[in-house]
Amino acid sequence: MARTWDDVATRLVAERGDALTRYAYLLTGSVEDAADLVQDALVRTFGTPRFHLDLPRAEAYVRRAILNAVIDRSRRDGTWRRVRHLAVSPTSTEAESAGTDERLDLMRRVHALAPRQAACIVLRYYEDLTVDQVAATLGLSAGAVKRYLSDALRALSSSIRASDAAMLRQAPTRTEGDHVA
Amino acid sequence: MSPEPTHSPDPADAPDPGGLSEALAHEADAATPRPVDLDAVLRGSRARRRHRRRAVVGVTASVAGVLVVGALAFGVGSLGPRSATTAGSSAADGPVASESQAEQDGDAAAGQSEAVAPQDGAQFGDDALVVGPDAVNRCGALIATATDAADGPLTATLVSPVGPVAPGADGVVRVRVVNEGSTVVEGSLRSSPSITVSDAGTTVWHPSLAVDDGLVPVRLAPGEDVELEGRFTADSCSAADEQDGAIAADLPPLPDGAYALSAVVAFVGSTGANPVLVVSPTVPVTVG
Repeated sequence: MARTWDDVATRLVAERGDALTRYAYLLTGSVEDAADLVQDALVRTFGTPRFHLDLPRAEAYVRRAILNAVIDRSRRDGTWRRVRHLAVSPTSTEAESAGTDERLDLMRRVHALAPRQAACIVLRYYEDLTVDQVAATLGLSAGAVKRYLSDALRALSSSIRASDAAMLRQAPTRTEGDHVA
Repeated sequence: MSPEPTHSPDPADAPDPGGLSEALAHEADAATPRPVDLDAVLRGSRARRRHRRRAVVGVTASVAGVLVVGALAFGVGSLGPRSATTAGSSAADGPVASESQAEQDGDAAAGQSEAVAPQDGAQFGDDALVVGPDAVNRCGALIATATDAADGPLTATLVSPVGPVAPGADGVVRVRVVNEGSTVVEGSLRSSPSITVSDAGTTVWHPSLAVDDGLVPVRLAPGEDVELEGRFTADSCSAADEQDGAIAADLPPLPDGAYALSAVVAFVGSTGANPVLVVSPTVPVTVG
């Protein structure tokens, strides 16, 4: 049973295009970046002749390509990633103290994770994949996925504790300073 | 249903899995994603296939199957004679023809479910996922035997003297690919040969899956050769570390001792014929 690569690409975009874009969006936090990443990942995946490329495998390749692009971008923007939490945490603290949106704050923390950690979190908790499925999708071992998930949850926990402490410290003077740097 | 956390580092502080799932779902739903431009994807991927001539074949069939692939690809004469007649043509010509044929094949087989490249067939096995030469030697399995020059014009040998490598350390070797045939060989070699570390003929380390490794164009007259650089790590893996062509990242270092290195080189002919995997003989290496 044979289809051309273009046929697989067409079906993948039609059936899973939105899911892929949402995955990229959850990794980047930017609609425009996500769209560009998905577009590039599709071209990279189908620009390489591949044998026995069915829809699930094609989707896994595209997800890996998206993650690799996010990792590359993260390396290029390493300096910003290292200091980003300093710039955003006081603002998020104010948002928390106002009780406006804990969910948005959690997303900021997810975006601050290392790319592979964030990808594992998204696939596990958004796509609801098992550890083995995450591993197969990202081309990692199950053990590596468990480590990334564990590290990510630990980082999110630390971030929440730090945020809570900052909130307590700032509570009496809530109007002072809304950002660092 | 929200998944349970895999390893909860601190139950008192860890984010609630349900809350995490909800936050992610809400975030994703709130965004208005820009639709994928399918036409641009198809145009871009066709152009990429033409210009970069990237082709990686994965063979998860047996080593014997892999070698049969090589023998078939060269044995049918698609490379030698056609190389000779197209030696003056553009390097991108081959894949164009290949894709056109593939697309025609696919059109003729509308309603079918898998993308199959031209000349693809049962020899690739039932699960020929694209994993390249990294999958020839699997952890814990016997290594592939060296390609016989009689099976095809290309042979590979490890040429650089390999000094002792510390356990867990990386090593670099050079791999020479020679055209032993009597006609010009034209096509592309994957730029990174897959180096395998073996112990008494059994694989103890091989590179992990390389999805997007580059190809370098080559044109070898009879007797000509080209050298590639390969890398390996003095780590130890077992069959349990294998997963779809990738191996675990945190492998233990190899114990001190005498081991062997061999290389697998992927070659794609300019005619679009099936890729060929060329296996080198082993050379000794000392770990410790």
